[in-house]
Amino acid sequence: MKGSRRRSFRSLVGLAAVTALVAAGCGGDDEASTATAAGGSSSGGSGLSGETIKLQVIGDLTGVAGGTGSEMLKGIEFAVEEANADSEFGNKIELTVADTASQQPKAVNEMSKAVRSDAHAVIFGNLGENARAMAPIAGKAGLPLILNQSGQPGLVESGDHIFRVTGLQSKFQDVEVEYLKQKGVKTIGFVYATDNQIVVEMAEKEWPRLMKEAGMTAGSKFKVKFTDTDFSAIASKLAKENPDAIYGGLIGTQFPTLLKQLRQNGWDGELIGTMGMAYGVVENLEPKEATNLSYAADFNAATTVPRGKEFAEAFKAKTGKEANLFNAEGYDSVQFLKEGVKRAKELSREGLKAGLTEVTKTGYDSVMGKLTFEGRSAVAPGVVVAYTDGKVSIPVTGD
Amino acid sequence: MEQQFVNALILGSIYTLFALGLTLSWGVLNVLNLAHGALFMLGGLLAWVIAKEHPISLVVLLPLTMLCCGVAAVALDAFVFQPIRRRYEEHGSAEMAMLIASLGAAAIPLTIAVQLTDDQVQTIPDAVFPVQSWTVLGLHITNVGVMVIAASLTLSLLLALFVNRSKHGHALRALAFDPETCGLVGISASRLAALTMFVSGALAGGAGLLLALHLGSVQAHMGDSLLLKAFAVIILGGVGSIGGGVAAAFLLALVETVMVVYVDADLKDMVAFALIIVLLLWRPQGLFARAAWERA
Repeated sequence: MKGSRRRSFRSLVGLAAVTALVAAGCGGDDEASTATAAGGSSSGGSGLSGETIKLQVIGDLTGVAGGTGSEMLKGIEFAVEEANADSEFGNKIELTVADTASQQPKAVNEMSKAVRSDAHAVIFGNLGENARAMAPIAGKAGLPLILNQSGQPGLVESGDHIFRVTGLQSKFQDVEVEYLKQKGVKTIGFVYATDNQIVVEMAEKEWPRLMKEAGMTAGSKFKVKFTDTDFSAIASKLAKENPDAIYGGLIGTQFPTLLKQLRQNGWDGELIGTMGMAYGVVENLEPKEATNLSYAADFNAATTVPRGKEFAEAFKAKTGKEANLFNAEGYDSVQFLKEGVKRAKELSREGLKAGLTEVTKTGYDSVMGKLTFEGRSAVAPGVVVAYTDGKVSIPVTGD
Repeated sequence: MEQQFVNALILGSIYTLFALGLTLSWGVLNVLNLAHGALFMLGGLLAWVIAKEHPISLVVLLPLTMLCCGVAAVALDAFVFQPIRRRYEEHGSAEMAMLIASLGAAAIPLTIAVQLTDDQVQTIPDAVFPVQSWTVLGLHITNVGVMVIAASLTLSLLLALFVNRSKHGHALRALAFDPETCGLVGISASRLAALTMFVSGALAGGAGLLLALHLGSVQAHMGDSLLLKAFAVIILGGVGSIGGGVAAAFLLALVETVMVVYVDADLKDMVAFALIIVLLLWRPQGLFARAAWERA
């Protein structure tokens, strides 16, 4: 009995020793594979030349945000193709694309996969709630996350690996107010949806501040929901009050109805929209309806910014379609990545994060003009996109 | 104030048109058809699809749209609801299954609509029915608004006459009361069910087209927000009561309009549904429920 106990004990010790050796070996392999996944080379900044940047795009490509997400992807793909053909850039970008279907669980799943992959960075667009769910996962793995749209407050501040290259709408509403001032607008009515924080912030904080500075006064304010479809009652009341302009903080599908019902009630002032008008709204209006209509955006194909013009022309030549702001934002997010690569000292997630952080300190020339940063969140100069008889113009461009 | 009354009249007419078909299918066939919103949207969508290639007049487009949506509703009944009814011995047990099935069925036209429209708002060409705005006694109204009011009142009256005065209408009421006995006296339940669904679908489709003209837009989710209001209108008016449904629709529209314009639009849904709860506590059967329509 004693002998068998000793044999059992030795077996256990032997088993433990073997297990420890195997674990050490596996741990070593894990470290190696992690180093490989992160790209593991450690040359100086210019020594990244010739390296392949593994870029993962996670987009809301289908589902409720699929329209704008797929447009963002077109801009990214255009930029990647351009970068890979550009010998001056010195690096290749290997692109992988995943779709969230505009659903949070899927977004989280795709980010988890990205974290386990050898991706150097992720570009995501557009829903803020999806970005918020994905950010901590990227943060734990030190994976730089470059956001399009996703304007939720506090999101970028939640981790130093998060960068937003789409300027917040609230930061360039001053160009629209300047345009209205030029048109002699004195009073502005408001119709805005309360189920979007960005819209509420613009309607309740940013616009009142800008209007006060410009000597304008606010008329009646009406709160609605994104699910509201009929604005007859509001349109009647506002038309009767007859402000010079009306701010419509609505989603794209609501604009045509508000516009038509205001005009049917005899109001012909300036209707101001949000960037939601930039995709699939105005182009479906009759030309005579698309007049006295404007919104502030970060980009429009009619831009006068030199880099923006160049991009718009090249994009149209390649795709046959006018570039919209979502194409431009996708394109710019790759430009931001390229700038980060140029300043990175090593091709790893950490190295790239450091490079991107450097870019945020100086800003860079984008298709939207000079892009500066507040923290890690871009500030775009902004342009006013105005429509008269269906024709678009850019009457005001921000500094 | 008078202008808002006109606006409430138009809004109430829209709710009436939407709810009429639903009250028919629910009152007669005991089908809580959650695909009704999709049929409504289908009306607007079909009109847009046809009109963008062939901008035919509304005089032709409206009946054509109603016919197509009526047929779609009959197909829904034939392929979804009737098989479920046949599987369940007790009719009451089939209701939940039909409810769930209708939810699934609603996804099909919605998905088609999203694909066709790229999930963007579309407009029906002006050539179909140029919208004109009139000012009468200082009140603004459009020709579409007049048409919506006229359609809702006319169709409500016709439906009420049909149900209460015609032979088929009596048969429908008998079917609602006791389907088994109907079969014994030679009333074909399946034919009446098909007729009911056809009328329900046609009403939904016509309402969808008229609303698309009124709002100036067609989009894939245009029926979603109206479905809940339609149920509220039907329950408040009394299931199966056409007059009750009409009254409830206009009452709801008036409350919402007053809340939006004079109080706070954020509170409109809360106040409207609180009012419904209070009224139902007072009269659980609805304002105008009829004993003959009570489900066994």
